[in-house]
Amino acid sequence: MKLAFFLIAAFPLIAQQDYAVAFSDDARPRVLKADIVNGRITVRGYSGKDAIITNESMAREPRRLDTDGVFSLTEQNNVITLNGGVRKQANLTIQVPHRTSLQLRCTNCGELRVEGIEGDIDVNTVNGGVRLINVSGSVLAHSLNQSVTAIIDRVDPNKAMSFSSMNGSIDCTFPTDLRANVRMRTTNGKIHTDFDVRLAGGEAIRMDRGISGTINGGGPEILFKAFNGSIHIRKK
Amino acid sequence: MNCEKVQKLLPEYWAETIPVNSHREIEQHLHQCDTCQAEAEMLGELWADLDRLPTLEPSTDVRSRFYGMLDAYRSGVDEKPKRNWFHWAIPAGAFAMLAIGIFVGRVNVTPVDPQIAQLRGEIHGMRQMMALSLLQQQSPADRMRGVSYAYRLDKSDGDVVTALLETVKSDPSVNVRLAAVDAFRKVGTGVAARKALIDSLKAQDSPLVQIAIIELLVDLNDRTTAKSLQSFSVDSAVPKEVQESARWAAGQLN
Repeated sequence: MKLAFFLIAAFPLIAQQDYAVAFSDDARPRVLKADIVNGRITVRGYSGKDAIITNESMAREPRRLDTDGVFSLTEQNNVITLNGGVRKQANLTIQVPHRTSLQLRCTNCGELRVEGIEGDIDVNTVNGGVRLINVSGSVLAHSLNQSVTAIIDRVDPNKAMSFSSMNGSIDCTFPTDLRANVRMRTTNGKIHTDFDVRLAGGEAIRMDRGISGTINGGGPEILFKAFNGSIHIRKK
Repeated sequence: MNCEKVQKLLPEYWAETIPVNSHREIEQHLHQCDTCQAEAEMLGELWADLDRLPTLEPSTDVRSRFYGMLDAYRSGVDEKPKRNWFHWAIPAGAFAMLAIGIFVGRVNVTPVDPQIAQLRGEIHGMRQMMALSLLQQQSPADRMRGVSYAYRLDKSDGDVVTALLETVKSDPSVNVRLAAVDAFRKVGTGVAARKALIDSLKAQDSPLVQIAIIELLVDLNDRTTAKSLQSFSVDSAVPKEVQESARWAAGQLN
């Protein structure tokens, strides 16, 4: 069992620094977990094998070396885990192999952005938006106060997905041949789609109870849930 | 080969334990019959999911727990058995249940093919097992699939309801919690489950999940929950939108 451990803040005066962390076990699926309180996370898929982490905020100013604010970065069983301290501002750009699953959390994010990733993607933010660009696989995306935008290239036909926001809108683009059972509900917004959704419930459809139906004959469940925002489901 | 025969052989077809001739005949039938094709795809998906389930590794204290249980069993065996009414109650109860079962079986005249009923029962059982197993997984995507399996169950089941309630209360992913709340529309809720959902409202850290639970209670039209929702709507610790939702829901249910 390989365990790598770094304290990034131990190198505060170095100008923008990249940290490469290897995934130790090719037999297992790669997973990146990150949990940041303040800052920004961008995850990009690339053709290399390691995870390359760049923290831009470190280049601007020296940081105190108190343990309360230190980031930790660990690798175990092909899972890389990055945790940010409460006081630290983490402006992270993380490059990982295209096929990597993600579990990302950010409380006060400018934006949580994911590009070119194939895997199980789970992202949760409180005050920042979520933007997923050219991702494939399955997606669970939630933002409490901002919008969730996703452009999905390929959908895993065996996995359910969910997109939700309390105060923002949801805007998702799927491949034209998407097969899904969709359930959509927004309290104070509208629902738009250019897919042909075959609505369930026959003639008595209660809009206030949300809408459910099938696209292209049905498939895995996809849930869209908003409160103050609208829901857009687009064809690619 | 007709539909009935094909559907009976589908589990063996996916398990690849069927003679080559029958395999070919089934494939020919599936090309012609949409219903059997859909049934075969559904079973195939279930089979693939069972294959993908990770093998659970026993925790380190399994050995000590096992020997603890063995010691407890041995000491129980060594004790002189006590004769009391309870020893008679169990076989008497079992006999009574058997008699009731035979009586109900004889008066039930609904013509259900026992093999199809058995197959449905097996599929229900497998879906239930998949739901329960996946809801315990580390990966949020797997837990989401567990909720999906629960959503596809034909009837409610105590273990699945308990697992979904646990998911609503404590799953780290907001989306998995939202899907679990939604699944109660399909799985159904008893009085105890609805009470547990109301009790979970205060502890929720996501206002969106709180609102989803409130909307579910309105959709279930359980008027007994109106009072709890009313008091929740004046709780100052609750976000404004959630208070408004609870007030609206209490009004709908009164």
